[in-house]
Amino acid sequence: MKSRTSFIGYVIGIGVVALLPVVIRSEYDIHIFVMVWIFSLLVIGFNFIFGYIGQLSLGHGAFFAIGAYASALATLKWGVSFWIGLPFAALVAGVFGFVIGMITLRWRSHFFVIATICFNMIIYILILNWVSLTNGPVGIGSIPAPSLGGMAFSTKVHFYYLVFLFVLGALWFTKKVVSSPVGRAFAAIRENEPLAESVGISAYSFATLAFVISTAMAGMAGSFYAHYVTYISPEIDEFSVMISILVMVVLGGKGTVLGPVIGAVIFTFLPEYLRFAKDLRLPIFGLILILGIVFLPRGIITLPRLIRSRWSDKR
Amino acid sequence: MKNAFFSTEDLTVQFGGLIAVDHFTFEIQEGEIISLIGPNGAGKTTAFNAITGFIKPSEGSIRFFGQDLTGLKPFQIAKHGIIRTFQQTKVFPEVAVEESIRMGAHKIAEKGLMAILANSLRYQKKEKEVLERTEQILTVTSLREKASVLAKNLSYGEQRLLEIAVALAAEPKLLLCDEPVSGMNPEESRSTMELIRALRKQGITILLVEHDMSVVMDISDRIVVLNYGKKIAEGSPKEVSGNQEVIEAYLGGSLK
Repeated sequence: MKSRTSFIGYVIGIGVVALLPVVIRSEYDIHIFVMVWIFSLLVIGFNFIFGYIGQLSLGHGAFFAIGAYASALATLKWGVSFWIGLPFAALVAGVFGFVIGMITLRWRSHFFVIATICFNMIIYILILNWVSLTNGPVGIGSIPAPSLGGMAFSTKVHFYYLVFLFVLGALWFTKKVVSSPVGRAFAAIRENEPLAESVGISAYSFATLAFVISTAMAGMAGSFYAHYVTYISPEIDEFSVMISILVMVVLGGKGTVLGPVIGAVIFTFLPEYLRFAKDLRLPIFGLILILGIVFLPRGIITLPRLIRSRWSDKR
Repeated sequence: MKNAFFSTEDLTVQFGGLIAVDHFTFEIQEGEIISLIGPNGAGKTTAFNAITGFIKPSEGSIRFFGQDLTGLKPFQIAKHGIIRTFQQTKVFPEVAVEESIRMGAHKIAEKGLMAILANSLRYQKKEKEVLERTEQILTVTSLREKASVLAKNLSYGEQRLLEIAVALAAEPKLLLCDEPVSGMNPEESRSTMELIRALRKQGITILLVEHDMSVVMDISDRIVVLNYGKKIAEGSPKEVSGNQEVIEAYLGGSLK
């Protein structure tokens, strides 16, 4: 019964999102949505290490940048198509994630946080100064749009569907993994690491696995970004990007499948709807975020459940 | 020397100048319930931690089924079939009882990502095994009524019981219980001891650390006494309770 209602819920949800470009006429709104889906991929990945394992990585902007540059350079320098560039971006970011994870996840907690911040800085400085590879602060332009069988994904609507499809795939992947023994191992490590170890779960291995998944997804998001915006520069690895990701996941609901995506949607659209407030736009935005986190510490995704329980209490 | 089920040899744990466990040598036979007792600070929990890999021994060795387990990490030792519970209760606070037990059954579960994503037959079969094992454990530990309650909302005694349930899910050959009934009321304590007896009947060997002497004397086949990290006595409950050195170690108090 319950699975049937949730199935209908999924179908309606996917249907609505799929029809949005038909309803929305403004190019700008479609553009914002494409960015939301790209950021969704990034936060779905980030949620693996932060939400499910409970380790805060502040270096995810770097993996996003690595993916963007890897994919852009592969298509421009080697002339391969986007369809090679995309998995290549995931691979490169994932390999970086594996190496960084292997070194830093042995200790976890604050050590891991600091190590990932440092990694972020290293990558930023590398991108800025390795001019022969990255073009330095000038950045890389004319990154080709993807094409499939002669049809180019040149319009915003094309990109909307392309990235949305990958978001659906990432959500399916997340759902599958977190409801499997692997997800149970993640939860065990987050909830009580010594107890997890005492029943045979290697916290180190599973945290590293989550980090690799997490960074590979960030790399994919970076690739989509590069080929959508067609121009990348070291700015994409600025720390504000990292803070946005963090707020999206906390706001939406960390450690839940859909929460990060909800967070990405609200975090991106809310400032757009606050334009009437003019100069007060960002302070109001900040205030709403704080209130959201204070009153819904487990994220907006818990709101319906909260309302339902209040409702049944009253009756 | 014959191959014991489990043995330690000259197990030593040193913290700076303090020798918490001092050349501790003992054996466990398959199928017995053996208790480790001693006054506070005698090194019982430290010995537990050393056996289960939570502390690296400074010296000595640990053997299980003829294999040397010295220096392995906790999760590796768990994979060999030595599972422990903790003196300070450890549960997965935000997880329901049933799911907690499933998390404990990690060893028998399918962890291959490909099999999981493809929903392979092997994966389905193994998940069914996990489910069956969880059901069994809910029955033997009488936690079924609490199956969907979050661990943090259980009473203290129930949390202790859940800890044993999670340990059971990990298929112990040797189960180490660190003061399983401490903080329980007499009724809970009695039923937990019944559970431990029942587990032994299922073929699980049990090493207990326990303060409650009446419990220890009643349930143990054999008792090992530690004082200042050293083994001072070993034998049947009767032998040990009559041992002069043991009586003195407990500040001259009688052991009933």
